[in-house]
Amino acid sequence: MTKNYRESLRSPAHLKSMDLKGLSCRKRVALLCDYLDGELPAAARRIVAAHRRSCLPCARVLASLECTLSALRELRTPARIPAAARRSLRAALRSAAGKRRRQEKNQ
Amino acid sequence: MTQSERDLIDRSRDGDAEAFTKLVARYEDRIFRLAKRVCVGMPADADDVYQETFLTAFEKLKSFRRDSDLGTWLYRIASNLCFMRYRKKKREPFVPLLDRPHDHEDGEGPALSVPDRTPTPEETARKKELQAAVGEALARLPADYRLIVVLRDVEGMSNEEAAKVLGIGVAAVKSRLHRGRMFLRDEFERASSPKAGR
Repeated sequence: MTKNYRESLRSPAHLKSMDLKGLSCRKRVALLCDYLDGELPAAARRIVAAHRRSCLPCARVLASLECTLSALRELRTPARIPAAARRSLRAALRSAAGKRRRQEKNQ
Repeated sequence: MTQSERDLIDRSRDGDAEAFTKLVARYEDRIFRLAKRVCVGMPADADDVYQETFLTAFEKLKSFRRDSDLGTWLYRIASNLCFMRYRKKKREPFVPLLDRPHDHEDGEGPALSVPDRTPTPEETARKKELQAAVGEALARLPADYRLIVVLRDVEGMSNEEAAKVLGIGVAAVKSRLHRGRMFLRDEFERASSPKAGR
């Protein structure tokens, strides 16, 4: 993210005059991602939201990014740890604790 | 950190396996899910990462700083173990994530065929299919990008938390996250286009 972009977020009046279409692809993606993550100041957010309504390519990128993020969030399903792995971990922990006790006893 | 967690950590540091098992129960779902998503397609490795994370933590608990967050520390151990596995096996798929003109230069780039995102019955019916597509696309991301996307967008961490886990700066997290998301978005586009799956 460039200094220019950061400064523009601190100063929404500057962003207002900034032509989002003039941003490079990388900066625009950064801006749109920050917008989706709710990391833009309120004024900057309103400007991006307004831009979204008037710029079809940005609106499309945002819509598909929202869809992708929504699908990713839905991957947060219960873990379903295999019972064997669970048992094996607990047995290994007991064994490690026993080993440590023996070492401490011998010291 | 709660008092009960501090007590469990203190007892675990003294070698109390029962106390440590209680800590395991608090974090194992998150750690296993991370291992499963990052070691995608290698279920045995995911099991190993899950177990090794907690065994390493039990062994190294004396070096854990009490002012740190235990979850972050465990995520860090798990992330390192995932990376080590990829390095060892050299299975990393090569996916160039270079800056590319993304479909946007005022209509001059390749046209996007994004359908209207208003939910339709067809979309609802394809929900699982698309989730699977994103899961598969995730598997094609390089491990470092995948790890960041999983920490941020699946596990719901903040950029700052993800940066702490990975020991990198917030700017680096954001940069990789943006690229990873755009790669997934492109893959998602392909899967959700009307021609996909026909």
